[in-house]
Amino acid sequence: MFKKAQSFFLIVMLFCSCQSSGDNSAQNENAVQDTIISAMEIEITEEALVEIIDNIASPVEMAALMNRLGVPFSKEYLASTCSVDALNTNFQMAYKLGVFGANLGYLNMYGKTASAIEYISAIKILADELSVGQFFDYTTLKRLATSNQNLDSLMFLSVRSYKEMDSYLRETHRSYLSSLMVTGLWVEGLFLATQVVKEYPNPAISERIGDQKIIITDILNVLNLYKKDPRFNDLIQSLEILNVEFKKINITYEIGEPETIEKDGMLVIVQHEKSIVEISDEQLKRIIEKTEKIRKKLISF
Amino acid sequence: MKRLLIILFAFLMICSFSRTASAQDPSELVGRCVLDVGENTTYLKDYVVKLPEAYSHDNIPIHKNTAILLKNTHYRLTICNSNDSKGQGVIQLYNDGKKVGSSISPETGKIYHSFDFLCNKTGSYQIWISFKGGEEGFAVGILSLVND
Repeated sequence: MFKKAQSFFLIVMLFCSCQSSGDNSAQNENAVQDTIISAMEIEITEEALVEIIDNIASPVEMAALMNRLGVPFSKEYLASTCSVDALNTNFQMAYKLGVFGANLGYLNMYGKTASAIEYISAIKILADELSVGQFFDYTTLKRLATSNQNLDSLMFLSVRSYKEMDSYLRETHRSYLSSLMVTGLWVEGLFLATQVVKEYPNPAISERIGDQKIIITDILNVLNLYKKDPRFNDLIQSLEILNVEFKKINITYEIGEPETIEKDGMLVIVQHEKSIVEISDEQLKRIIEKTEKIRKKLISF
Repeated sequence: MKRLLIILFAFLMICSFSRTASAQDPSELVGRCVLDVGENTTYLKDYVVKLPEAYSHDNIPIHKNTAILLKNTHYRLTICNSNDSKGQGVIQLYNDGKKVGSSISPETGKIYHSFDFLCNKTGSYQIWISFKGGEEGFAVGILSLVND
């Protein structure tokens, strides 16, 4: 029964791959767009861009928090992979690559390796279309997911593959795609957190959502480099609607000196300086609603 | 052992498709270091660092990177030296220009392979990697999450 299901899955995947690789006119259009958009990259150095992108926290940390708090897993929060072959611009594909990356991180963190295979396959299709498939080791990742063992290795290879793809996009003067991928990761991570907090209210998750105030500013700084492109401008407008709500959140700090403890042969540093996020139920509600709307719009293209 | 072989195999596969021939060694070092981070950890980022010898003790070369660290999160910062590295790597953490953590014990001066950081303030942190005494060196720093 399992072998039949596996064969069916492989046939479906092959069909999807064939469908997604034959549109020459779309590829030509993408090549022209790449040239135009990369020409806009004149206002910021590569080093500064890397710093901004590195500053965008990984959705893995958000998923880890949910797991630690005992929030049950739900596939309802995940984006569908069904339309992956309908995407025909690099803009759409890079954004979705980020979305699926966040979904894969969530699945891996909960050890849902069977479902992870679906996302690994979708990511591979998009990565190949964007010419970064060589950094996504589909065979090993699929084998690790299928065996349902070595979750650490699966997580490591998934995260590192994204890092490699991101670096290569920037090296090949396609930083605009890198910025879209990172935006997709972030929006999807925020969506996961807001859906979870809606169903399972928890102050730690609310605070983590409020913390995103720091990150949305960085994302908008990167996206604004490409605002002359109407699609980027539209994306910026969507995120600015969300940023209006984040700007209302107050973050205060309590001063304290770090404490170093040597325990069981390990060096442990406890930070006593604290950040305190003040986010009201009403503010949280508005962020949840706006994130839902924006995410729905962005994953439907 | 099986896990190690899988990771190394994966890395060799990635490297064989990589554009640059020099990318292989750092990737192997990253793969080896990830295995040394410890149990119940999740890899987040790596920083491959190759630095020249310092011209003077007042001007030790430092590799600086930034990362957002989140409140109520247990991180581990690990440093692994390449087999042919002359210098011993040191990893340090800064926030708002202030040192908040280091792989060198402030009490004993001993250099540790890693240190844990219990973060209570969300914000942008700087991860500095250098080599003891300003020696020439090649190392990788790993930022990981400790799953408590």
